Amino acid sequence: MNRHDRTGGAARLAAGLAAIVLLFLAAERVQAALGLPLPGALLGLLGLAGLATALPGLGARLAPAASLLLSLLGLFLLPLAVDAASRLALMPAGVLARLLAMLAASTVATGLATALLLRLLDRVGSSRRA
Amino acid sequence: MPPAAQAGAVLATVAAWIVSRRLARAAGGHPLASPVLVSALAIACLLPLLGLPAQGFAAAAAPLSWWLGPGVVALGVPLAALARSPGRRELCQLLAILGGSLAGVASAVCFAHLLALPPDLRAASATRSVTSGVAAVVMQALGGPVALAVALSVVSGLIGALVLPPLLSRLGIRSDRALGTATGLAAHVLGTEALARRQPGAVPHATLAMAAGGLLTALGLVLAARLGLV
Repeated sequence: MNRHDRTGGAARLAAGLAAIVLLFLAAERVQAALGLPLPGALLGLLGLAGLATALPGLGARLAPAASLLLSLLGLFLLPLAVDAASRLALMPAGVLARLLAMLAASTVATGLATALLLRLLDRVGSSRRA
Repeated sequence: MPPAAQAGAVLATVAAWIVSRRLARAAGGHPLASPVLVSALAIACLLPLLGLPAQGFAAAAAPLSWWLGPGVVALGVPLAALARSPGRRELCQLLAILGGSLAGVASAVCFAHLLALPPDLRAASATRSVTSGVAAVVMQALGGPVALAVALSVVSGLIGALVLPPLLSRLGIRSDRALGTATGLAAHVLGTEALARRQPGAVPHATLAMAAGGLLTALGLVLAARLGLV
């Protein structure tokens, strides 16, 4: 990749990031102005999904910026995770053990329910086609 | 908050993130070496040694947390991929994600009651099944315990990343689509990260499940809150 391509790629990435940030800020404004119950970020998610569905070219242009943001979600939530870790460390051992049991049971139940439901729906779909 | 303190907290967070990503690569991407887990534990352990409160740190590093908003908006791109190709397979996948989301909220709330968890943990358990960014914005909107909701989401992701891929494989669920959808929905970012190393073909399905599941759960919870159900 030459220098011109790299500069162009970085410019497209910056433009994509700016578009997603603007969409988020606009969604926050709309949510506050209309007093909608949905958080601004989710309103922006719906807006972006709608725009990218209606205009596939726009979706393709925003995809690298969206991938970058998604790959950095862990970094963005790190300050909250630090706060969370310090809160969990202060919990009594009994409560922490019950909390971990709840999380393990619910996580496994969610994953199993999703996978088995998908398998069932696929089988129903394929038997109808047959 | 003084700008110097903010800059220091953001720089420390980014530095911890970069180092922990390198450690995760060196550890072969084991879920216990997750950059979120390692960085959070390292910073949480260092703060008392430096005489700094964790809550103050979270406030100082708020400029980084602000980016969770655009990060949640970015989930709209994989979601659009599903909406653009609405065939029978995609419809089945969406229905499975809807069922899994319901199972996620119901199982968390039921188990939290069964295990007699304190009220703040029961409230935070409602968003356990969505990715931390969505959990934070939904819990903010519901006026619940945001930090606890994020904690529960992160720990769920860690448990799911460790347990689900091997468990589902043992049960004969090995296709990219089924493994990705189930792991992405139940274990969010950390589960998707684990799949990226174990079965890369499952990652697009995991991202889609994380986005669609987060949206469906958030909409359901906000609606339930409006109706006074949560």
